[in-house]
Amino acid sequence: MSIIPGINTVLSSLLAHQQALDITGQNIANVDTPGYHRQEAVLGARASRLDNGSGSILGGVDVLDIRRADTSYIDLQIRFAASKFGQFSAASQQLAAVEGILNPSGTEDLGAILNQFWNSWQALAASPDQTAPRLTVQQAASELASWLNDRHSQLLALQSSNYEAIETSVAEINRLAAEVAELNTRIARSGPTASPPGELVDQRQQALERLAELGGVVALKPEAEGAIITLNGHPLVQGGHSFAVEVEQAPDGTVLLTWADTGREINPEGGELAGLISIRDERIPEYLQALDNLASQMINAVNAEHQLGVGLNGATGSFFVGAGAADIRLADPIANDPNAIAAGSAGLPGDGSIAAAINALRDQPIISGQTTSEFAAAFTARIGEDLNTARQEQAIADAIQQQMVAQQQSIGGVSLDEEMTRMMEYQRAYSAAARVLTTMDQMVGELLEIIG
Amino acid sequence: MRISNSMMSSHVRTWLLRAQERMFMSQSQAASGLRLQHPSDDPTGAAQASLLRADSARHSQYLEDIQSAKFWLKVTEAKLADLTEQVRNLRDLAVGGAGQMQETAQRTALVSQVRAIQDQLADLANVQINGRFIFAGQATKTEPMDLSGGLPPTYAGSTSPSQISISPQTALTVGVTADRLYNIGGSVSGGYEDLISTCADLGDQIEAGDAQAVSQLIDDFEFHLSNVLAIRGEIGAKLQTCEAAADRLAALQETTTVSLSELKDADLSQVLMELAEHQNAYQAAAGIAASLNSISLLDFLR
Repeated sequence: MSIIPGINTVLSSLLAHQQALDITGQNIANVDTPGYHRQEAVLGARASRLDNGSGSILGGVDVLDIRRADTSYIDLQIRFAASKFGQFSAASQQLAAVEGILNPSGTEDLGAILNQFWNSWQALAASPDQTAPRLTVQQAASELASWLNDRHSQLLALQSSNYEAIETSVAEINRLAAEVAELNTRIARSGPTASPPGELVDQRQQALERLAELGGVVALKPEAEGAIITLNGHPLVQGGHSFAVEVEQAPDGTVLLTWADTGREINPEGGELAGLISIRDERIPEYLQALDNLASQMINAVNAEHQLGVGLNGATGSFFVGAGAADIRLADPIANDPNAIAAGSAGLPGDGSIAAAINALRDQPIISGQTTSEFAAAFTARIGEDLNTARQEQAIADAIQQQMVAQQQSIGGVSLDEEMTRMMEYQRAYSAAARVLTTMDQMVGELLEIIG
Repeated sequence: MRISNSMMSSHVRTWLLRAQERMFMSQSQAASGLRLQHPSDDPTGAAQASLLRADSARHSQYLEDIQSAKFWLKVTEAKLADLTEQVRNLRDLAVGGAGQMQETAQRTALVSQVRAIQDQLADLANVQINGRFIFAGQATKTEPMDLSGGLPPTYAGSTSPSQISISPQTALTVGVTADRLYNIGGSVSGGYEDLISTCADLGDQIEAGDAQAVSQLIDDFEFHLSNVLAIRGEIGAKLQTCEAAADRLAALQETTTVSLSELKDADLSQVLMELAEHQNAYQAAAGIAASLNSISLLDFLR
């Protein structure tokens, strides 16, 4: 009867539990690491058999695999939620900026500026022979014009900063796609045996989540062999190869995303890119057009009346010049001399009929079937509604994502208490194995004594 | 359900942030007193508020315009009171003068009285208030009574009187033109001479001692008196219209202000209640965050 095989059995237990303790250590070390999935030593007993030659039992334990907690089904849903969240959080950030530009506070909004403008004409109609109301008209009108000019140029500035954000997102997508391709290669290289290194899988999963948030990138089963990760139905990463995305401005000023190799156009369906592009190329142009519409109709309507009149200094002609929100301003004669404002039709100082007619425009549907105050109210509501909708969508996506992340953490997160119990378990097993070794040692010692 | 450490802390973090956000919203509502701070707070409400503000702005402008209409009407009324007095004096002079024309000295005194009134009448027509010739119609910078060509005077002002809108529908005529007031060029029907010329006639006839001609002029002055009084009546009626319009507008403005306030202002007692609620929620969340992981298996391991 040999005692050596028994020592081997005990040795395997010492080694396996030491390794299991190492993994517990790794889990505890990464308790706060984002994206980390707990790992577990899968212990397996060696097939034991009776050694017929010696009559002893051979056996032992091995760490068969280091298994990473699998959350791939939830990861998929998290990526969908992240794609929605990215889209609507980018949209609501942009729309909040729009709201900030158009309605910084209750007092400086479009409605207030228009009220001032019309009231100044009404006051002029009541006292057309005095200078003060003329100066008020001059000032209120130039305030209206510069309000339109400023908001127009601020919206354009927002559009171009939005383009920079798109460029940054695209650069990050390309970087992450390359990173995923590199990780794919490394994971493949780690060999087909057992599980791939959990840390690499964690990294890839995080990169994919960020890709979904940025570009609505779809990765159905990234862990499958040669899996295809797609953006807008076209592969972004295939195995160890990634495809680059390019961004430029189309001739019509809209954003154009293309594949670097084929030049085919990409229309992202989710993620920050979709949010940014829809605001930049759809919403902001609509707002700009609304402002342009307001400006041009105001110019037409006010000028049509004003041209019928004669200023106190005998001047005749337009009140506003320009074609839209970008360039509306007071006509030079009006800007230079308040007496050029035509309050009346016959050049009599007490005639306020033209000013009254211009004031009467406030009740007429001069802006595409709406009065100016109706237009301002509808425009204000539109801005608020758009932002509200985006915020609600963002909140929904956020709630879904939180829910999913909680599930992911429930399965994959590290619980210190759990690790402690495992640690005790492994420690006890280690001590017991050591005790067995000591006992065997004593047995061998006693045997030697008998022999000696 | 398996609870991991990161799950616990991220949950607490989420609730802490939400409680903080709600507390911030209540705080900013309470501090600003505004429920509607941005259109996105309540887009429909913001649109309604915008329309109400437009109404309110025009109401206050109309109220200002009514004030200015009242000013011009009152000024005109004061001058017309002077004018009535003078015309009445002339009529009395004509009535009394017919019986007092025997003595030359008496006649001379009467004549100088009449001539003085004639000058005052001419001055009154050309009276200027705040740089405006109030009896010149819309030609507010032109002296309306032109005596440079002798008698009869000509009217140099505009025949269209000044107007002020006191509501979208009502443009109130606030001025009186001197041609109508003095019947220059027979602008009022009846075939009478203008007031200045009639006054000059009275002087001439008294000077000439023609008692019969003087008594014939009484009828003319009666005509002028009733003309001026009729115009004063109109002015009085317009002042009443202004008062009524101002009252109506003020009531309307109050309704608008109340509606606007209901729409945009925070109900302070409610907001403060909410704030207290949210503060409690935040305190609870903060307390939980602080006691997070205060007990673990580690505490029992030696």
